[in-house]
Amino acid sequence: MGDANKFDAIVIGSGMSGGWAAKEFCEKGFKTLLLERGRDVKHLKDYPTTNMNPWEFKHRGEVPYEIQKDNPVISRCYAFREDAMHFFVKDTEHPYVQEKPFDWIRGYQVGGKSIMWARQTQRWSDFDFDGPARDGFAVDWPIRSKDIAAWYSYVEKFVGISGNKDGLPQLPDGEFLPAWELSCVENHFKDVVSKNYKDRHVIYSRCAHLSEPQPIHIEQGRTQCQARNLCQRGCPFGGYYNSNSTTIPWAQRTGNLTLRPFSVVHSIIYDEKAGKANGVRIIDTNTKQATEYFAPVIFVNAGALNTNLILLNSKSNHFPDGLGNANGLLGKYFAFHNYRARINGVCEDFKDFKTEGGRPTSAYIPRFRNLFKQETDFLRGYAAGFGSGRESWPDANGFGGELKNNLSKRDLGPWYVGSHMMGETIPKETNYVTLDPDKKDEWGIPQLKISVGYDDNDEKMVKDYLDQMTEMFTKAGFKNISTSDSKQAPGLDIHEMGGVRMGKDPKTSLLNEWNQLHECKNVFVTDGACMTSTSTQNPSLTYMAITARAANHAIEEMKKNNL
Amino acid sequence: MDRRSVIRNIAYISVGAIILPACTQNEKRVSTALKNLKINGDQEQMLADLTQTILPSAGGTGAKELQSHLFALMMIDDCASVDDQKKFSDGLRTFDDAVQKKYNTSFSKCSDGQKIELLKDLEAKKNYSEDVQNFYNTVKRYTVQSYTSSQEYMVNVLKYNIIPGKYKGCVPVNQA
Repeated sequence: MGDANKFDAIVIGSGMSGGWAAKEFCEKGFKTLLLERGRDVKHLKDYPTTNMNPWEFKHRGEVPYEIQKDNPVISRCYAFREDAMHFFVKDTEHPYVQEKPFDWIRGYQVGGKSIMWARQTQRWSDFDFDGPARDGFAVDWPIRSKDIAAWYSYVEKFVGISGNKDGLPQLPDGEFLPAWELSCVENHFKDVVSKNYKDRHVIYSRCAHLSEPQPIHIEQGRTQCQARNLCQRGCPFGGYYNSNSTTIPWAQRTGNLTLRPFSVVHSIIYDEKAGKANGVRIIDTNTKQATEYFAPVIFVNAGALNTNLILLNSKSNHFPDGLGNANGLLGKYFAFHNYRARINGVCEDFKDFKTEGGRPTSAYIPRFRNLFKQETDFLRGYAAGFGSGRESWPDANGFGGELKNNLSKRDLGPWYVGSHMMGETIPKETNYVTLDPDKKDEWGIPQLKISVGYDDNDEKMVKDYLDQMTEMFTKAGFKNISTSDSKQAPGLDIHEMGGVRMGKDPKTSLLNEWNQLHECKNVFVTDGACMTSTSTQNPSLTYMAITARAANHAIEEMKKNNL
Repeated sequence: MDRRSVIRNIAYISVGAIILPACTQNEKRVSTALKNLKINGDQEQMLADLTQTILPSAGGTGAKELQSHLFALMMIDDCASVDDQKKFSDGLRTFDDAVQKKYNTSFSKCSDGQKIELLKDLEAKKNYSEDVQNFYNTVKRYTVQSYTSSQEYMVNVLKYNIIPGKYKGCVPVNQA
């Protein structure tokens, strides 16, 4: 093997968390190989639709029928539209086996799903980390707020988070840039809720947007968010955070980064003699050639499900069932967020007012259920998004001059109000992923078999969310209240987590408190796969903080020759 | 920004590709490339005339300038289900037959007065079968969409601006 294949660190995956691992290693002088299975997407250069007006889209935003028909899973994703569909993996491009229905939403490119994410960034509190221990499920998290608070700050300052300091124990404050306004109706709802409920709050949802860029963001080449709300296309202003605009170019600037797109990781190579991993085997997606790369430390950030797949497929004499899988729990205790329930209505007040511009976030209701103590017949709880606005619809009655006249008048309708649930699900051994024994993908790697479903706890939580929100909407005087349960399959929440969970005990978990595999300490897992429980917050901010923390621990350990 | 004008040009080129000139042979052929729909030049002309009756050019841009009939054909060809494509193709014939029966001539050859009478009936949902009515509704829906999603309409009526720059949560409705 030539020196060209040797690095100081290898990071698998260039998305939300992988970008952070690469940045930390490169900044500290480590020659780093960043592997990405998809194509390269360069900030600004490779956002083909970013400056297009609605009338410039051939199908006005719609996805052609044949694409929808051939790709039912990805077609269910809200952001799979004509303007951003080139960033999503089509069903036909990487098949998987659904033992139970599971909508696996993927973005295979440099930047991964950080290009199209919804940019919501709420911190975890100890009410979240304490969850499994207090309520008796999964295993105890090996970390608490005190272990990660400084890393949240570290990440937030670099990313740029817009938010208010709300002083809520269940949603710790962070390093915030100014918030955008709530609408009149959102403020009205906030008042009604705080008057009627002691522990319920309606706040501005913190988001990864540069409402007021700081010197660090200018240095990154990013500028003020322009409230376009077209983020899923990639932003010409760098107004929101993605790996492409921020961590990856930052890492490249050090001269220490080697970015290798079109590289599917087949497996991690385990050195039986040394008792640790020494590299990775990749397959070039263009040439189908296998190549090996070597480094003393490996970060696995392939996205929760593909991280499970890589570890399960990393078989050796010592680990016949997958790397680090001495206890047989790899791939198990997989979980997600329950996004099934919605409530809509109208507010007939505030008729003389409207909103202006496009706010890239909404209002947010932090978890209030079972927060301080168990109070319902289900475990844990849910957070909720809350939004409002006014729309005008064209009056399309008549034809000829009458029709044109009708269309030229756009009267504003009443304020619409809506909310969706984000429910915690309980990780269980029976929710798992594994390798299909027969089916392989086009790179000769076994297909992932996913067996993840809802349970009775989720059903009760959907009902409670709808009951509670109906009560809150009613108290706020909202009208035409309608509720729905989409019964959508797990996965469509795009918050899949677990399978390689953190824990204190090697018998019951895969990773230690620093995200090292208990059984193979120079392999770190810091994406969604590491999550012991899911809580209710949008998880990306926590992945980024966990990654920065683990990477700096790895750097310290390497300096001490401990890895 | 250069990138932007390049993207615009690409968009214009692709629009240009849709409206390549009609074939001038004896047998009228359809002027646009369709993958799924099978329609002839007479039917295309009928669609053009129908969309122009729905949305005339008098008083500004209409279906003729927007090429609304080609937009409708393209959208149905690309974005409608196989079932809806069939309904549309059947509807073309059913509509033709209904007009022939009533006026003894094709829609394109109807007088302006006849066209207006026909559309009045369709708007009032009377005298015509459900299939004819559905066909008309479909054509009208796409005609309206081609208009309300046009640059002129979005800029002038909706005041669309791709870069708002700011968000305000509560401004008076009547503020300019």
